[in-house]
Amino acid sequence: MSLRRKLLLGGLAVAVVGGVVAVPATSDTAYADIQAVRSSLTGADGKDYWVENHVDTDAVDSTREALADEGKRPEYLVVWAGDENVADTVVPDVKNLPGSLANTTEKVRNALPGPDFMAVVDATQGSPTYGKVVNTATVGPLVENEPHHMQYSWRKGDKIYAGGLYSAATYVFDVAKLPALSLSGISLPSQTLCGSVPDAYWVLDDGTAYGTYMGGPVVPGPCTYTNGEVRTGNGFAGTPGEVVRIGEDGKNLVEAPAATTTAEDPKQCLDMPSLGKPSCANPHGIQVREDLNAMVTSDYAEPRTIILDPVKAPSPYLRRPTVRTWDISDLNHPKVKAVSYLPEGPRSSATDPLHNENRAVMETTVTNLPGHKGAFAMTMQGGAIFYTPDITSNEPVWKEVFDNTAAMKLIDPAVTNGGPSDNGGWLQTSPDDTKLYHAVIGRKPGALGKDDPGTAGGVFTLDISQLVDAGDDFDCSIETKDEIENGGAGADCPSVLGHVAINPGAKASGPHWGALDNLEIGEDGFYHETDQPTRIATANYFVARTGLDGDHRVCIVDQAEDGALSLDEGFRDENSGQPCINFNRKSWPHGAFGNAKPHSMLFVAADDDVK
Amino acid sequence: MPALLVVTAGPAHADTSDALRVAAQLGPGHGPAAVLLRLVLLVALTLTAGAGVAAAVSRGAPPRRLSVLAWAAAAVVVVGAEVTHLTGASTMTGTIVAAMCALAVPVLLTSRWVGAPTVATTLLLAVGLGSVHTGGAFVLDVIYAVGAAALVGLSILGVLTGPSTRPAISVRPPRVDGDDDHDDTADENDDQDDDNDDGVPRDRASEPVSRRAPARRAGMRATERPVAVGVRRGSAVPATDGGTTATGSARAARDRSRDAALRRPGARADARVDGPAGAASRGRVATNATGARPEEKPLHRNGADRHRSTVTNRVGTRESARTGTGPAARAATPGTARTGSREATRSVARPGSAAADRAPARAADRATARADLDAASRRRATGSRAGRGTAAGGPDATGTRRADRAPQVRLPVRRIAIAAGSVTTAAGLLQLFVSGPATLDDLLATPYGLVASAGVLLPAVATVLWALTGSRAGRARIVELKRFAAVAVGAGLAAVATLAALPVPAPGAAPGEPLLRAVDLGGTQLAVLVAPMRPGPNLVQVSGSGYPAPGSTVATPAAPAGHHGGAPAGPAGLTVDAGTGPVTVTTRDGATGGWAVVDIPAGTERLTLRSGPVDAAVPVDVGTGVGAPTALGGADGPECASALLGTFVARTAAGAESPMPSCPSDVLADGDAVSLRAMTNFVGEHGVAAIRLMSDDSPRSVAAAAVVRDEAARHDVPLVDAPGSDVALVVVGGWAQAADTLRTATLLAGERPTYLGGTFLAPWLLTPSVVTQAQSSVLPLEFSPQDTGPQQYAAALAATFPGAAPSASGYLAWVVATRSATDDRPRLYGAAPVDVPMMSGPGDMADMGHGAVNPAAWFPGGTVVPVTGPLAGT
Repeated sequence: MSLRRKLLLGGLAVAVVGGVVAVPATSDTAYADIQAVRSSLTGADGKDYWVENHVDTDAVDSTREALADEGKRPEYLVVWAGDENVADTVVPDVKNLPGSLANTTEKVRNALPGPDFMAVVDATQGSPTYGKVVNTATVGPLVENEPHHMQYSWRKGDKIYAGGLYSAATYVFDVAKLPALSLSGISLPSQTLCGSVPDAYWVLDDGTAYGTYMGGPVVPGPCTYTNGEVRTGNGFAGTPGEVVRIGEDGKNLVEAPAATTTAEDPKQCLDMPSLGKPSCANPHGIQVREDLNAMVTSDYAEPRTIILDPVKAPSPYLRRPTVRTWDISDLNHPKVKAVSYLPEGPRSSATDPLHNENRAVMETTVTNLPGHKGAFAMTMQGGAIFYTPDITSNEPVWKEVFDNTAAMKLIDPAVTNGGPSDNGGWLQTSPDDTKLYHAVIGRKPGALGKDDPGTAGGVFTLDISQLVDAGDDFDCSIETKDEIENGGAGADCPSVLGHVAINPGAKASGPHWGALDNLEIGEDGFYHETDQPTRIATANYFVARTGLDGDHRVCIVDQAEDGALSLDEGFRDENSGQPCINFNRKSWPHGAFGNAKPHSMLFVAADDDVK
Repeated sequence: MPALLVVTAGPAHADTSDALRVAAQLGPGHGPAAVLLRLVLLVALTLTAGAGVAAAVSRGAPPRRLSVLAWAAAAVVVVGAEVTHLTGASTMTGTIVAAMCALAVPVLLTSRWVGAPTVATTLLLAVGLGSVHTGGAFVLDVIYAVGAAALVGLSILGVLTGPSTRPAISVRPPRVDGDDDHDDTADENDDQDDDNDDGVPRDRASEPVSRRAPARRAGMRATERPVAVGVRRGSAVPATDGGTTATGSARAARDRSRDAALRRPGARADARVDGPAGAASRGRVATNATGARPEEKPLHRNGADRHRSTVTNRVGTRESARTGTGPAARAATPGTARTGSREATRSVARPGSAAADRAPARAADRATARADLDAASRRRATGSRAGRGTAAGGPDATGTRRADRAPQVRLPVRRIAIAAGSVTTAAGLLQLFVSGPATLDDLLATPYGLVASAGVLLPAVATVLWALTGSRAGRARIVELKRFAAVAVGAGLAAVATLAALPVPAPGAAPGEPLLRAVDLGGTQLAVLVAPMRPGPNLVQVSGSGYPAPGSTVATPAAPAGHHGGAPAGPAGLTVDAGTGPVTVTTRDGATGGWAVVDIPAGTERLTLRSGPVDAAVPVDVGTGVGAPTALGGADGPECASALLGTFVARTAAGAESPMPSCPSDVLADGDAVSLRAMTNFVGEHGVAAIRLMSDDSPRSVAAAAVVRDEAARHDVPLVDAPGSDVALVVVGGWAQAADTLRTATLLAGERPTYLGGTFLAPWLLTPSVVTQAQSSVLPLEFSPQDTGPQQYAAALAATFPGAAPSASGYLAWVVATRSATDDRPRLYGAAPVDVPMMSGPGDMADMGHGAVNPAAWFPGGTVVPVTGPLAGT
């Protein structure tokens, strides 16, 4: 071969290889050198359950080295995400030679739901892999768990409790060795016979956790709880729900009834099938003040609905208006102390009860400082925030202290009545009780009528310092139209500190959930808990089956000292390069399983990196 | 390389399973862009490989057009490969391999190494063509691809060389082994055969040179009529450039020779054999030593020359004979030497060659030529710059580039082409038998059948065209024939490549064997199940939703696409006709899809599905023997059909043909009896006030009711005939009865507390159309719907028969057919809808289920989870 031809061939070879390598394919990032490491245990039913890590060790090691040079350690965002559905998880096209076509029936042959997983995302500010998914810890063998909530925040030494809405299972993960996780335990539905549809968790100081099981007993009829009491329920995903105390090994320590022994308001508490003693006990949100021996749970809805008429909406009274305060002086014997019906607000009407301010109490959050005993609650359909100054009271007084309309007009200036059915979700006080954070999905167009344009979603922050400091004699109460639109007139009423729209151009595409970054890196290079969080993580997903699917993006919102919120533009998707991490992608470290649904998240660091 | 190909190609599979064929036809398939890209890539790979084949079988420098073709085809491959990579459809490794192999062909086209990339490219083509098959079908695709590539290459060669480009004189590189002479002689004999086989008119070749017009030939420019020298690729003698000497007119040649000689005053007559420089300096070709006698020996002037003298001038082809014997050739020979050709000047006349045969008649010419050769040898200028220049591939003294010269064929091309075409045709034909279509109707009336036929016929046509090139009439139109042959085989390969995107028709019906196949009804793809395929009542199940209820002509609302796994709406007013009158396809309570019970007389050949003006035929063969009555025509028909479908989707190409199950409602299975007894025991221990037992008159239900009664009596739980708040509802009837019972109970429960003792269902009632009617229910099952097996069964079923819901009976049939296992002991499972529709009004209802569609769900919009451990007493 002549030199000229050699050069020509060489040049072409370089051009081809360079072109293929340099020009990225449209497929997502290929994860190479991923080694699966499985942590498994035997469940109560005798079957094996596992979590399988798929750590991108190259990325993890290089990042740790780079951070070490700056005296930093890695911090992660752990996201509990579900495989989207079987249609997206059929075996992907075989990566063939150019010109090859794979047999499409192979997809059929191997069409199986993909695994749900914990995504471990590098959330270290200044990290070279900031925003990269460095591990996906898949759970098995249960599929289609519909990953839902975990606890609200993580502290050093805590396990992570994560529930599956549809599998009715609670997973307990050990995150001491992040980015790898291990499975510490699993609670199966056969272990929680008096409740179903697990929702949220609160980790107690001893490492065990309370969890809300929103649905009724797994088998209809009478169910006997740990304390010997009996309640009659209408079955799986029905009513009444319960609170379960779960050990770090996943064992069921306590099943406590959320329903009282007496009947609740039969009009407000519709059950299907109806119960002899109507109940609104479908606990969703849960927060605890161990120092006050108090726990608060909020009732959201009976988590099942038979669509008897495809063109008729289910009854609005399946959404609950109640909050339950508990006495947990005996952690193994939590007792409902009071069932509070949140008040109807100035917007309420008998003709549209679904959008009354008190409809669908999804979340509640407690104050944190020793001198404070109050708690807040929000309503998903009502679009309002309520407050009680004392959760230890036998008869807590709840008042509406903020109508989300006042904040939604900031997030979506095009609308004026953004409160009703704003699909609010995450509600969290700041550790110093000065701020209240709230995430809202936004309202779908047409929800209030054919001319309703809907609203965008986002996150807003309220200044609650005066309200909390006012104690039992707080003055705030939303009663007028002006207070609906502009905030309460009372001197101690919350006011909007900051707001940011997520997907500002799209209606009902905001976040359902959020998490505060309660870790702050100190001068010693270790992370410490902080009461002045500067970052919030959000997730744009609710439950696809309900019609609120979201765009499956996880974002980080920065908070300035004055409370102003802004999207962290540096937290970008490793594939698209766009802000926020997109869980709609083809490939994950555990394989090409397609889109995933991120519901909740926590900021976590490995135990060795936290002091 | 083969290992790399296997790795990058991934698995390929054949799909001979009925269910998979239906799934392929009803599935999304491949997009038109992917199919078009595949066609372009495979055709370009074929042309690239063909160009390599053409270059490999020819001895001379390839025509410029071949080089252009190779480069163009390779460029298409590179671009296509990059496009597939950019779209994520090919691996980086696969892309690079494909591009590099394709590019190597034109780069090495004139090299002796061209065979390597040609083989690699052909392998790529073969693997790509067979990517949808495995086993024998894959091998047949490979054979087809190799044969087609060879046939295309030979056809291209024939087209590009044409009748006018005749191998003349080949100049071999200098060899140090004198034994090569013998081989060369043998090669020359092959070449002779080639000429004949190649379809080159023999009469012209054998025409006595004396009859030709020397002046005409001498005056013909070499670019019009290449003569003299073929060049062995890759030899140190590329050089041969110099070999084409008899270019231009004699006068021009003499002039060029003189000029060249003047430019190389230091030229010497000796030569070296070591190294390129030496090679460049030697080998002046006395091209037209055509008068060499057969017995003529290589000339050796001294020891060194003896060493080099093994270099042979390809003498003896007809063309060379013609050329060499003319005055022009004689004049050109010394001119060639003077222009700096580096080939050794020794010429060897090979026994048996045409030129040698004619040698005695031209002794004088040969003597003159030999004298000229000697003179040229003495005058050759070693190491001249002119020589190096031409050796590098530049134009020779005539301005003719090496690439413009004619190649020389050295294999029996025509025979090889016919053989390749025959093999290709045979491979395509065998593929028809292996992969289908299986029936003549499908061969002639389906896209797959027509395209597959083209894949067989087109290479056959090419083969015939090649055969015709040997006939007298064919020789006159040889170029056209080869051109058509190239096009035909290329089109045939494209047709075979297209088959990957077309669904394979179902096999034909057989008496007594349920038939599952896809039907194209005016563009609507439907899955159809016909059972038991015996004369008399047959159950016909059709995919889709929205069919009217029995006795009604009004279609039920089709489930919105994406809503709880709803199937696409079926054709409006669909009927099935076996020649005895149309039967309307309707819904069946407790089941999904469309149903009809059709009386099929013996001898019926087809069912006709009709929707308005469009119809489609379903070939059937019910035979003549009347089978025993089955439950297929009764209320439990849908469950029976579900069991059949479970077996269908379990069958795989590699698996054994599992027998079709009997209808589950015919008998109470032992496992079900155990489960029912354990479930009733649980109910009894659960503290319910009474049991309301619902059953029907099927043999299974009667037996099941007896089991429940016995167990209830054992627990002293009374049976009641009316609903009550503390009553447990136990349903052991068929799907239709259960669905109706549960629907009624749900409505009642909305009015007052009802069945708070729980709703308990027999295991066979686990199917969406039944369990979704209840607010919540409990079933004893020997498997978890969340396990891999049930998920796999449900997914395959959803893809095979859209709208057919998974069922416990279907899964248990799947378990039997796949030889899988169920749990040792039954557990109770809770089934309930789990969702909180967030719609605020009717307008929001359409959004429900968005993004959460699972067409294979056991409980669309709900869940089925174990709520107990293994049941006591099991």
